[in-house]
Amino acid sequence: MKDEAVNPVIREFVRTQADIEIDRYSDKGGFGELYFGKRKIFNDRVALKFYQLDENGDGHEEPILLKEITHENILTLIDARIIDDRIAFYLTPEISGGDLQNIIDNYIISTEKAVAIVQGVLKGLTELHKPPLNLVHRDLKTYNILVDKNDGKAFLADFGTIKKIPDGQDYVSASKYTFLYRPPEVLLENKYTKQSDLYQMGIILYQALGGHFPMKRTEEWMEGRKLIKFNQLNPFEQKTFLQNHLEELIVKGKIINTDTLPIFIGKKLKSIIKTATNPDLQKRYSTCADFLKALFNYQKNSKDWWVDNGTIHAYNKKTKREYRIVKRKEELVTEWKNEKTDWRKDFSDNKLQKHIDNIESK
Amino acid sequence: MKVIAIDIDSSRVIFYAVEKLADGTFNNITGDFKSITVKDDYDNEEIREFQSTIHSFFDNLNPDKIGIIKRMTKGKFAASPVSFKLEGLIQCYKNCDIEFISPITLTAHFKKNTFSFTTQFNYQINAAKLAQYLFS
Repeated sequence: MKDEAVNPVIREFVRTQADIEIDRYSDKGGFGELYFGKRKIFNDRVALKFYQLDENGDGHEEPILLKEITHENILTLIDARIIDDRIAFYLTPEISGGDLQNIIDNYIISTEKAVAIVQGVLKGLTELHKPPLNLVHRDLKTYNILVDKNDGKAFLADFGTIKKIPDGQDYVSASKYTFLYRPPEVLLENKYTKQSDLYQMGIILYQALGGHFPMKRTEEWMEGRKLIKFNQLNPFEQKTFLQNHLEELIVKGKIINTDTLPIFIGKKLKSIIKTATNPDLQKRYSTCADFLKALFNYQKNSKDWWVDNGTIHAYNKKTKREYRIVKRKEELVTEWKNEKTDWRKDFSDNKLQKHIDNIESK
Repeated sequence: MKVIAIDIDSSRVIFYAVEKLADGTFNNITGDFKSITVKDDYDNEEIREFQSTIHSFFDNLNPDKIGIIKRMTKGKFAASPVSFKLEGLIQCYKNCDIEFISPITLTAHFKKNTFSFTTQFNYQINAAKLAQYLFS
């Protein structure tokens, strides 16, 4: 199972279970070890997350919290057990599609699916934010969102960073786990609010729709004089310089570049992303409901866009027509079909944007 | 105490949410959630999202009271059937019962009381009146 680096107590435990056939290990369990297997009695797949306890045997906050929160977009807790005085684990269903990062690394998901995933997580997040719970997640990222392969339903996972906002206060201190998702207010004042969770959801929407950060070459983050200066520094100085540069981008609201989104992502969705990630809290969505309302309004007139084998497709659910943009005799052509007809020519022009606009106008 | 007042005008649902503070003053907490409109009430997905978006708004505010202005069900001035469909979806909210107040009750109330809430848009006036009534 490639779990050689795992604590021997856990390794021994997973290999001696009579009721769960544990067959897979993942190193993506955050601060805990994550295993997957099949329950023999119920014949269903489950995930086991092992976690450390302190010297007093405390440290069960995450499963206790999960037990308190019941929502269709939040991972359900099946059970929690103590193995010895320093190790415990909890059991949840295994979500078939895995995490959202894994999905976007392997496929370009359709705009409708991406929006539906974010809507699902926002609904789960509403449950955390709502009074009197007043919880903030503080580490929302594509790795902490699980997606069911069969129905596309999204689940909010990993509750290790959740914190309650004290009464009479509207913020807590930030978690410092994932740099690129850190909201500007965290860098400036170390204040994490419910709106900070919405900022992270905005980044997730950006990524789910195909937007990306330049992760392969650090130089891609910079241009002009900054890049020249960066190249003159030694590796240690470069690290600090890059960190400062990224902090500056976050504070200015420029950490995401909507130009990296696929061409068919229109102004409305870009505007939703920009509002959700706005560094000015007055301009950012103030509640999950506001964010959900914006997505609801977008969906009323939206087309579903996706890429299949390099060809752009769209679907108009009102007219039940599917469109594709293909090259025919050195010319770009929009073709359409429905349940009764095969592909027919609709529009031709050599500018791709005109094809997108034409389909959007239908 | 927090109240959410709702006025349904055909396929558009108008909200006005107010919180009464400890010093007796009122704070408008509607935010950007002033109205929401359903485009196609036969679209299952749109109707589902409409309901969960509104319920998310309720959850965020955790209101003590939610009220809807009653509309005529029969006769020449009967309200749009879509409005009753949307009303039913709102009524499904589990965490707070929905009260129904007739326009006659509101009119009678404001004959004896002054309407003091301010609105950003004219279309919010009926919902704002209902909100003020809910505090009485």
